[in-house]
Amino acid sequence: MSYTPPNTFTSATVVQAALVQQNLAEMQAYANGGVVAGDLSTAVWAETQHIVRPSYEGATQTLTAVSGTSSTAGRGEFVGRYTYVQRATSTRNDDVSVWQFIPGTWKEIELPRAPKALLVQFSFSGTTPSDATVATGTGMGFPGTDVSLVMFPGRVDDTSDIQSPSLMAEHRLQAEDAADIGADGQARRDHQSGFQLVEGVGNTLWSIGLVGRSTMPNTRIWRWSVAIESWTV
Amino acid sequence: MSGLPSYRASPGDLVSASATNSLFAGVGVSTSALDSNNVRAQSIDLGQVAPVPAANAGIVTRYASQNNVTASTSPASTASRTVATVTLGTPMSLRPGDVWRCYYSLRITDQGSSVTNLADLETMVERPGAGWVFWLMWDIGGSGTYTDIPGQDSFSTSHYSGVNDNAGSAIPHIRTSQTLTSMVFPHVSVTPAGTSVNAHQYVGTTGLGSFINRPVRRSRAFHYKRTGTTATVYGLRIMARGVVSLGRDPGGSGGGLLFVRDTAMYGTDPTFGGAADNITVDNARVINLVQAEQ
Repeated sequence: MSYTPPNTFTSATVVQAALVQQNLAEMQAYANGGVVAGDLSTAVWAETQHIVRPSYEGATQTLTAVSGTSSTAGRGEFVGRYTYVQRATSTRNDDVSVWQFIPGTWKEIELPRAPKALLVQFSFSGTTPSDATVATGTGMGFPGTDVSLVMFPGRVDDTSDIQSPSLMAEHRLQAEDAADIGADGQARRDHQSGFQLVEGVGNTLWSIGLVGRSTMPNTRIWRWSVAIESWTV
Repeated sequence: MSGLPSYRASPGDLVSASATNSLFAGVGVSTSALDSNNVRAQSIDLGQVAPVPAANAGIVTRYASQNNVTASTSPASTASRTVATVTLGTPMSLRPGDVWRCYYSLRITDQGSSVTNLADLETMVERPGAGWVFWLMWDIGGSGTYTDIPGQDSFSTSHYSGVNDNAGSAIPHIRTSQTLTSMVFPHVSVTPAGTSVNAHQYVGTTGLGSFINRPVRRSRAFHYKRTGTTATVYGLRIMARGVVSLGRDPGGSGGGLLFVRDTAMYGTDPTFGGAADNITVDNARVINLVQAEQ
């Protein structure tokens, strides 16, 4: 209920300091917790300029606003500066399934507030050239490379943290026939993309990146990007 | 209303009772309708925003869900097939002005072709660009009846007359201008210079040739802004049909059409159209977001 002065004054009567003080005290009480929802105008009272301005952290490329947080990372250089997945690091031979970091594709994001949902979109492009050490696959266990997305709540400090990637975001890269990447330059450059949403996450640190496992000498990931969105309200 | 009445008695003058009363009464009027003028710039942070206010006012992201489908299915050609049905745990409300952001993906393991003649297979792939088309339908009534999403045709109707096969029968098709939710996946294919079975690449063990020799995932993202009336979405259905090919709209719009090749359009071999072909979808993921216009 809006402010109502407890005292009114009558003409030709001496103004009493106590009554004036009472009115002022009531005004003070209203300003200090006396405002109720019904006192607000039905017209829009919160406009853009009233919302706390978003802040951008250049070091982490993270934008934090009242409505949520967003962040991006990526690398667009061409093959001269590629990252990789290879059997030498994934120790994978047919059914051996050890996921390894794909260097340079990891992103940490600190969520300052507990969002309703967190959406990650990622994409990458790679080539998987064959060589004389790889036999042509004719059954299960085709030579190739798997790449998947990992969203880990916390800081990844051990490869055991990345052994449960989202298989719904998994991509399987084909090994190229050596003849296809020869003189005619017809290398297959797979472009892949995927996404994952997590609801009800806490205000914590997330590690997000790509992991891979391979039976090939070297899969070159020559570009990748990740976009992260979370919404508080 | 933020302005307050002012009254300042001058020294030596009698204080006016009405002016004094007006001063206090004016405060009452002003505080009965607090508005934007009473809010300090940059004073509203998360603490001042109720997380679930009435009518979701102030909520940017009003809905978020992710559904994973792990059941494998192998839709065959010759009819529109359901790959997966996703029933939303909480119905998704789309008010006028709301933007629906949808992301879905499929992992495709295997394709089977009934075509056994290598030359026919090469012709089928190289001339009409054979493929499979995936699209979404929705249930906005809660009755389990799935209908077309605005901006997305289905093969249930033929939109143009004169789009016929060699036998003169009307061919179901999708206009390429109405493919909001569509994904096209190439059918079994061969290397351009392929001259033998061994030169071809396989998915799985059936049929000749393949686009790729490992399972592949394909992803699609789109958005749809609701207009008119509120719609409540209870479920989404991933549909598939093949084998299709791309043709030109004979109606003269300059657009293209995705035809169903149920019948022999490009040859006389009755199996040429791949009438018994199929494709296997390992799993699927559907993510839905609804965000308010403002």
